Amino acid sequence: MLTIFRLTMREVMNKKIFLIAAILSVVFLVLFGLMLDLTVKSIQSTPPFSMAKAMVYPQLFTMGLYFACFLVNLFAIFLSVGAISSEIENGIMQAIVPKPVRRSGILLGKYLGYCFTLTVFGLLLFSAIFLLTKAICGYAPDNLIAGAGMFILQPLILLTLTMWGSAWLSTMANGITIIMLYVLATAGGMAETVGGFINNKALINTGIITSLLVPTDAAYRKMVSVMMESGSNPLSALSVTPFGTGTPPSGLMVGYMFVHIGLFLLLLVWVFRRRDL
Amino acid sequence: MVIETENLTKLYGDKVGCAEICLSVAAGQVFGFLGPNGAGKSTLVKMLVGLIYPTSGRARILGQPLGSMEARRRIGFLPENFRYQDWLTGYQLLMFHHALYGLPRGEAKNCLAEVLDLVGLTDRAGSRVKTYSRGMQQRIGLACALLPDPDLLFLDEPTSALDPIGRKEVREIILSLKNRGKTVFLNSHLLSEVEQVCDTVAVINKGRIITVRDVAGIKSGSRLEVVLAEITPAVTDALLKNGKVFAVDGSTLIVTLTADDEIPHIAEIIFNSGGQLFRLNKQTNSLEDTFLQILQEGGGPQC
Repeated sequence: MLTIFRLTMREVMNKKIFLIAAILSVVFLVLFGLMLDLTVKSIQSTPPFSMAKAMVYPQLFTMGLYFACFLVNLFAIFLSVGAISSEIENGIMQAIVPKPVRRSGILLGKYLGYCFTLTVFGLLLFSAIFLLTKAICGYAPDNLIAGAGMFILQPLILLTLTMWGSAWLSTMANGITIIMLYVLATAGGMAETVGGFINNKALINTGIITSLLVPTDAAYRKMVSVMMESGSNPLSALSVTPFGTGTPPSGLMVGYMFVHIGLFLLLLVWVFRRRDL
Repeated sequence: MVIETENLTKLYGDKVGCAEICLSVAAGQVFGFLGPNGAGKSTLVKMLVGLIYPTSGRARILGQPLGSMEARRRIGFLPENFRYQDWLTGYQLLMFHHALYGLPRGEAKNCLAEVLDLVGLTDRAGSRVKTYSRGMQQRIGLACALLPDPDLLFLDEPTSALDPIGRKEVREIILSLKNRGKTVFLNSHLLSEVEQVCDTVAVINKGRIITVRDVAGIKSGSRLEVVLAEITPAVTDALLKNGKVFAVDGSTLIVTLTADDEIPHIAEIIFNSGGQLFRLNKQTNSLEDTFLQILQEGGGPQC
């Protein structure tokens, strides 16, 4: 398992997608920093300054996190979309599986390699968003560690789901399926937020069902809610933008996210162990 | 026995991959596995190395049940359609496979140097696999398979991408392994190659083994080509009466020989039955002739 883990890490570093993701993330951070700077300069010249600050800075921070999540989630999908299927299709797996390693060991080695990469990449992005907001706006949210945890949970949910799909679908079919599920989860999350504001049970239930299917948006909303917990952003709760939270997911939903990862990890191992190569 | 299978069967829905395969491969031999394209050769090899699961039947490899980790440590396998991580160098690729086998790290340097030398890639070990030609990729694949100094080596079409010199080198590697008491299971459709290195061959067609034969026995057989002005019933009747086995090909009779001193006797039979003899030509049986004949005749179940 350790051998596969090490090889996966090297492979990720060698993939062009990693370089592209790193470059585009830097571009995104530069743009985000520029936007923060221009906003701060604009607010400082507009009274009442403190009220504008309380309204705008948390929104800017959550907006930064929203797009950072989008980046890291897409990276998770594209990184692992062919993790198994493409290696079966091109014959790499045929040279590895007959070796004295368990199929589950091969999978877990790859999975942990991707987990580690995504965790490091996600934490770097999260830290950069936080540091830029703190340095330029002087704004710091609450519960950074819990927020970072929820931030990382999203790509890990998608990674597990994508690798499971990769164990039994072709690379193309898996990519399309996972992207559609991710969009569905995001749309469902927004529907739940809107449903919460207008008190519409049907919309809320739609959001809950999509969150049970793919709980990425629930993790995003939980992240925002824990970081805005102590009233540092009293006005942001009124927001119905895509960056707002509406009704925050419960602790039970957070538990479900871990169950979701565990369940699909087990399914991944089960499918791959039974599969003819 | 190094390989023992009993009614090993693989079905893909209604389609037969392999059916009721019964094989016994003794240690220290080069065992050839022949068959036309789509006959089920690769299906059987894939089952034996654990890539696909049998639908029914049993098999033991090196005395262990299929999929056993202990057996896998002693098996080398060069797949037919393979690709390696081409962003690695040849040396890094071998290190990776060395680690997969769980071999001691301290021995890696010597072990890698040995297999690289054996496949003639020492000079290119530092180059990325993606810069290798197809033949070189086949050699590095062979090097990966040889890493654990396997007791049993499965080679699935090992020379398909090699030039004549490369083929000769692979044949030499196979024979040197045999001389060291190793067993090689060679899956190939290159009959001349199988003929040169194998002790025993099994022929598979439509998923079933139709015969298992000793290569030396096949090669020791010969036939007599008899060209006549006309093949008359009197000639064929006379040959049959004398217990000769023959086939007719136009104006040529192909008579199976059991010994060279039969030749004058056959000529005498033809002459006495009124046949006009134009030419007699003795030919040694090749594996190709036997293979084609076996495929035409079909065969019986082997279990």
